[in-house]
Amino acid sequence: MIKESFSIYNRYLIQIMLLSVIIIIPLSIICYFGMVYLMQELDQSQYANLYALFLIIVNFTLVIPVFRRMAENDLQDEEESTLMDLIYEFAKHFGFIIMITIPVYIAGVLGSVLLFIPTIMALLIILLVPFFVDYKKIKDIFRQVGRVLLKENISLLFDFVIIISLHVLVWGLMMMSLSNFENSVIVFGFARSLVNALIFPILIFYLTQRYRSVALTTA
Amino acid sequence: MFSLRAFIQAIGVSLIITIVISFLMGFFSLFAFEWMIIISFLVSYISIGILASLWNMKTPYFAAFLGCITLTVINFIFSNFVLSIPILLNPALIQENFIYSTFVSMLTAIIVIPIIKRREQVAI
Repeated sequence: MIKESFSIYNRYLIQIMLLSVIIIIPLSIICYFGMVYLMQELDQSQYANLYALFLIIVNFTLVIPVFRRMAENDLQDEEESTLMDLIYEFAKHFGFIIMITIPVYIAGVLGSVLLFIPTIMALLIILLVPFFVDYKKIKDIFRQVGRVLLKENISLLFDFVIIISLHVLVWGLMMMSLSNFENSVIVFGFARSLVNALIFPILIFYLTQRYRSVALTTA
Repeated sequence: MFSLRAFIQAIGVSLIITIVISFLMGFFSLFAFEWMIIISFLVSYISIGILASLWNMKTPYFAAFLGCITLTVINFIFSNFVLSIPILLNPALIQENFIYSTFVSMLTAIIVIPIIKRREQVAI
């Protein structure tokens, strides 16, 4: 699966670069500046860290439908979709992902009292919903999410470990080269957005092959 | 029938437009502070008036009305819980806010909907 995702990355390299300039880098910069603003302005009693975590999560999940569509077109030998289609895909599913993510995230944060079990469930649902937003009915989306959750329950946590450790790895490598320069908020924001533009497509291609194939075989 | 997917989609796109334009205005500090507030207000409610009626052509006026009400309530909740501005203590301000936002988006819908319908008739 990893080899296949790298080959998809190779095949659509120019489109992926254009999409990362148009979508991923501005989104990451906006999220990062929002994070910095909230961390500076809010008090200690207002839990700015939770908003920062929410922005980090949303930064990843909002990009998923674009690259999921690209990977699926490639895997099912369909026609290659144009750049305008993919940007429209991003705009179309923005509202729905936000509307699902906010209540589930609030439930996860409030449920952290119960030994973090609802938090893990909420994070899994937040991760899985964007892969199935293209279904027509809202009921179908949650049915597919439940199917994947039941099918590979514990191995979803390893996907989390993969996502987080890839982030930390690339971020650490980038900071080694940047540590000699004079750093500021803007430099960190741009470096972070470059890291996101590098990692997100490969991760999404890999996860698409995992989850969508499960959903397709059992449907 | 009123379709929920298209309605949520319209709210999302209007949020994207508002975020991008207010980010650009704030990043380059183009205008004075009051003008920035007025421009982002106009952009968000005019875009919800256009998009909600464009994608919900069966029930256009209701979609525009419900969209602007939803956006206003989202604004209240955000400013109350995230930024902790005690906005819900002032009923006169809330009423004023609702009136202005509904006025702007319904005016846009009244202007835009006949244009869309005429274009559809010409296309057919």
